[in-house]
Amino acid sequence: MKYLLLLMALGCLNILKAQDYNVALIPDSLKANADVVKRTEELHVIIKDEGKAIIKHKYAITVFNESGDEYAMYANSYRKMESLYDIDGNLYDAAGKRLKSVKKKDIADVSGDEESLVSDSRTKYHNFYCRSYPYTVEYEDEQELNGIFFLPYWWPQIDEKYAVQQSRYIVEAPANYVLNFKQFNYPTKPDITKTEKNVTYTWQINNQKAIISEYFQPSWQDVTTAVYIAPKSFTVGGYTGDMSTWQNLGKFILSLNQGRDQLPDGVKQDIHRIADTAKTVEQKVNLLYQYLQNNTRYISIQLGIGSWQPFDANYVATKKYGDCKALSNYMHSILKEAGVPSNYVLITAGKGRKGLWEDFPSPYFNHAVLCVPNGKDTIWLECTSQTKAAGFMGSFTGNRKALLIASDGGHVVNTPVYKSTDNLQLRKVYATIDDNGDLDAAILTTFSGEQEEPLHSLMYSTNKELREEILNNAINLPTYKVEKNDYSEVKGRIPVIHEDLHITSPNYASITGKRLFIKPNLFNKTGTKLSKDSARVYDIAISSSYMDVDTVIIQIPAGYTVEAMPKDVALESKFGKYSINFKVADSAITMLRTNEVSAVMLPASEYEALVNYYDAMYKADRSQIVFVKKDN
Amino acid sequence: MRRIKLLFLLIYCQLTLQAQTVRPFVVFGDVKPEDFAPTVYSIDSAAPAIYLFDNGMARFSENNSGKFDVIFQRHTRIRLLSRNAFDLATLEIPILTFGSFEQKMEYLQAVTYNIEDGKVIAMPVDKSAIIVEKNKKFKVTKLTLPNIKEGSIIEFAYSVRSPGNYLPEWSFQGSYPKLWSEYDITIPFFYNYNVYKRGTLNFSMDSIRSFHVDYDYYNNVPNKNNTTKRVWGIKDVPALKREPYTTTTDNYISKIEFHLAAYTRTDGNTFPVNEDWATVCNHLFADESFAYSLTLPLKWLNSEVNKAVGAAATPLDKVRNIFAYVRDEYTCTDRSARSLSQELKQTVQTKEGNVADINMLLTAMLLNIKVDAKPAILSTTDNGRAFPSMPFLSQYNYVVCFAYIDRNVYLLDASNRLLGFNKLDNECYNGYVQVIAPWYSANAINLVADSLQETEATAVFIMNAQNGKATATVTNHFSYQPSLQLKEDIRSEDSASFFEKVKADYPIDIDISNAAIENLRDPEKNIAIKYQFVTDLGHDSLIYFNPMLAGQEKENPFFAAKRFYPVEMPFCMNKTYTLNMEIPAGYTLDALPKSLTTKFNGNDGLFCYSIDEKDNHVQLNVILKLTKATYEPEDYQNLRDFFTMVVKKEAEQIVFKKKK
Repeated sequence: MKYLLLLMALGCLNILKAQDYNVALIPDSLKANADVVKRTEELHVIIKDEGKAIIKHKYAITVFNESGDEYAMYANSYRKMESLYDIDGNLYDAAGKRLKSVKKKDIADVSGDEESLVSDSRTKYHNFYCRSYPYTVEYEDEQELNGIFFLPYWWPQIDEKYAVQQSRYIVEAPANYVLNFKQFNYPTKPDITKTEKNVTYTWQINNQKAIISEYFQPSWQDVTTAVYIAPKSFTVGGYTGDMSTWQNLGKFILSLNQGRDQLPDGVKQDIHRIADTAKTVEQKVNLLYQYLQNNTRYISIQLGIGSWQPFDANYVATKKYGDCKALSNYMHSILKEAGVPSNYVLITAGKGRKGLWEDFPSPYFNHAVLCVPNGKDTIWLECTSQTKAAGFMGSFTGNRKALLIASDGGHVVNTPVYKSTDNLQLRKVYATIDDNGDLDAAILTTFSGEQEEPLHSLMYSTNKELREEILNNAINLPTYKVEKNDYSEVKGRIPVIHEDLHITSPNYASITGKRLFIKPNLFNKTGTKLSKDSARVYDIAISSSYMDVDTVIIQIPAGYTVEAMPKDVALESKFGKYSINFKVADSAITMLRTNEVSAVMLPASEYEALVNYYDAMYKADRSQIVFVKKDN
Repeated sequence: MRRIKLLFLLIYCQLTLQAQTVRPFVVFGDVKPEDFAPTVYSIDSAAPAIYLFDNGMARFSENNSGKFDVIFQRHTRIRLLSRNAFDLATLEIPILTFGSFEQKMEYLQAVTYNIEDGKVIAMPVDKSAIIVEKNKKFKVTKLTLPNIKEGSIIEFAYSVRSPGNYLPEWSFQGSYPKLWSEYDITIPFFYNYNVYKRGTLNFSMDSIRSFHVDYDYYNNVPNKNNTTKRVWGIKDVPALKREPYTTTTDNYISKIEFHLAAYTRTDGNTFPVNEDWATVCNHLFADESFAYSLTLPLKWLNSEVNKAVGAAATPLDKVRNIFAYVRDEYTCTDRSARSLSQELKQTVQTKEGNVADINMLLTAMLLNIKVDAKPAILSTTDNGRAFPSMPFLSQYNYVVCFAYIDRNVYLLDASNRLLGFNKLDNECYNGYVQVIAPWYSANAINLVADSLQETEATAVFIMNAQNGKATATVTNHFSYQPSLQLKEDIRSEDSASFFEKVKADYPIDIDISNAAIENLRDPEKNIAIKYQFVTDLGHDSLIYFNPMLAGQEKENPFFAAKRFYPVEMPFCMNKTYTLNMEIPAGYTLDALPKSLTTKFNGNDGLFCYSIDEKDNHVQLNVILKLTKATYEPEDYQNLRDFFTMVVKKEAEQIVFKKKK
């Protein structure tokens, strides 16, 4: 009997060892376009109860070339509430022969969060530094969550040129545990098995080919497989909550923020001095937002439950700094003192990022802002910025769904969407070109909405000298000097910046013999040149709307007549509208250019039309007028 | 009467003397309302912050174990004028701890001052807000100051105790202007330091004072003046400017550094330190974090060496194979290091290490096969220039392997997978490479960027095809350093996306075929790019055609009107462009740009644009050549004008006219 047990145990060992990483076992279709192939993966989440879970992760990756080396590195972070127990690593050669092994104790760790002033996050890194391709690394680790808020998600194909041979996601929970999940690009339902005590969910993919990314590709999530899970009830950092609905998740956040709005007397006096005489809610908000901007700054602090719970208002009032949660909560407290109700809002911030999924209550947020309901005219406040206009969300937090926390819990809301008529760049250029071809130009430009954002950073984060340097670098003229650069901003829901530039550029126009060559579109040429070569796979996603209007008037030296004139161009398509016109009269060139881009999602079949559209624009933008000197 | 006059004169002298060397007397915490009055400072009207006072102080202090520690104190007061400088309100002070070397922070104070209703309000940083973060070899003390606004004054002071006799250097200059920057050092008689100054700013104050101190552990302490205090101060220090084509501003920054020249032991005997390279070499061969392992038997490397040597027979071939093996099988994780981070055995085991680990291992492997090999140290361009005659090890940050085979010298660097045999990156061309050998002195090789004459040659042949189209063959040859740069740039990219960019860069619409980048992954060979293209020149009555299809200088690399520091390019460039083009069918030549040859600063540079028509072909030859890589600021205007002219000339166009 003893022997039988031993034999069985040995048999098990054999099964565990049986994993064969010989590269020859990878199908050719997976090798195509792949820098790496994930051979096998198992992400195993064992939920013990509402506040405790074990995460076992095992994966093997075969690296074919230098570009794939970055995926061979192991990294995992841990904190006080997420301990990292075991790490096991192995390196195999092309034939699948094991070359090296590593254990947790041999792996050094470093502070895991460079951005934050304070953070309890630490990271373990390991790398075999193998350079004989192809090679395979295999890692296995185990983590324990003490407190559940986030649960790990499954995203097997993490990048382009990355194929997946096999990957599996297993979630095990007590039989009475309610688990919500959301699938992306997973055609069927998970495999669910139940026992008396447990329920087990399994998702698996096999033989996913490597992806080559394309211009205007939809977001990564829309094209690859992913599964997110979220608990119904949970316990974290001494708090319990429920996220079966957005409303309940909101209630939990409310409980974290409870009683954190006490302000010191000095600040209260400031608030009343500043806001009491203001007549409308909007005036009050503007004045107090300015007070917040003048008196605080953003410092990231991430400790324990503090990653989700804001530092209280009193802390911010005395230190004059805080992170997004602390600053939003502080502003909420300020407005409350002034008699203006406002709501704390959780959001996923980042240009091009999407908001929450309405049908899947879960805590995947990375930012907090504040919302002031004001009848039809809701005011949104980004509390970490010292310069942004009150009410403007822009590309960082605009155009997405977010979770607004009210006294009755959470509500899904939409942040403002910016249209092409909000995101404008209106430019007038008055230029002269002298007999040497030297250019002298006054450029007056009005930027608004999302098009204002880069200018806003330029205006506030740099001094005049540095700005001149950046402009000198940025604008695409041969030799170029900024003689004057002035900026003024008109704050508002759609903020506007007026730019006043004066530049000189020796030899802008090329003179060869008796001819003068001028490209009148001085400052707004499209740089997009798309390739027609390969067949389009994905839909076309254009993510933001905007409009540019350029008027250029160039005075040229007397005595020249037109030898060649470019054609006017007018294009209209599903991607936008474009037109450019040229005129010459009395030694003056007038060019008028309009380019309107609309956010749109179109099928891949439209790709050829898109290429032709951009091609036509590319050429028209570089049109040249040729003048000849009249013989005297 | 006469006496009184003399006295007057004396007092007057003293007064004027003092007036020349006014040192601001700044007491921690003594911030006055008038300190907030200026909104702009004449030293730099655009500065987002001004250092009102920056003082460093170093002195020696006896510790419990009868040895001396160096105490370094800093006291800084800053006026924050704009949010762009708020980063200054977050402090990070590294505290080193490795082996027996353990620094300690003795005190730390930081305060924010604001003015409210004409009164100065001070807010010190909370003790609880000071965080110590621990890493492998160092700790970092982090804090951020509270209550920061535009116009705030922040002040901090700290002191760090370090064992040994290393005197920290002091930079008078930094990213922000300083009204007063000062360094005070107090040195007991038993240490003697050489002092080195960099930068062009003059000291506003430079004083020496001697006095007596009791030193418990010394027997024959000189009674009088056994201790010297030196103070250097600079008033109105401008912020350091960053400019393109500068290897590192470290070479120009005003700073002061120290090197121990001699010390006296408690028994009264004096010993010189770091006398010459020969002594330093001996120290380095006894140093476990440098070459000590090379003095031990190297048999343990046999199996690794055998794997590397393979079938090679001659010593040179063996060295080549070992070099390629180390380069390809080992990964360099830190390309700035003068000391080993681990034992050689561990490097072999983990297959990774810093540049010192890797090239020391290479040296050991060459010694194992009885090749004359030695480690050599140098300072890379971004680390600044080392003083060639002085053996100051702290100025070096890179190790290579020096090998002497069949009376030939080889410099080998296995830390970069793209580097060929006996080739160094242009970052290593930064002055003297010191060869480290026991009892072997002043063996140095000078590497200068001016000696790197690099070429890039482009040739384009265009012939007429059917339907008014033209076909072309393009070849592009690069010499070693530009090839290396290209290999680094294109490394992670596939060639398809590289040619996408080539295509987008063309002034005309082209379709590329038969494209290839030769030797992209071969570290020994230079890159050649070859492709063909088809283009449609159109059917208009006139065709305007810029003959500089590829490699055109489209913009002046020297856009700034003013220059503060020398221009330092990685190598001397020599670009040639040849075009041979059949005149489009059905067209005649109407106008050609004029040929032109100009020189820059005598023979420092040459631009030659020579164009002609011959047998129904347009032939263009362009040479752009600089014979130096480094130019002084005085030459800058000429250099800029030279490139303005080049850009202008290369933009000129040919006109073809349709035959009637």
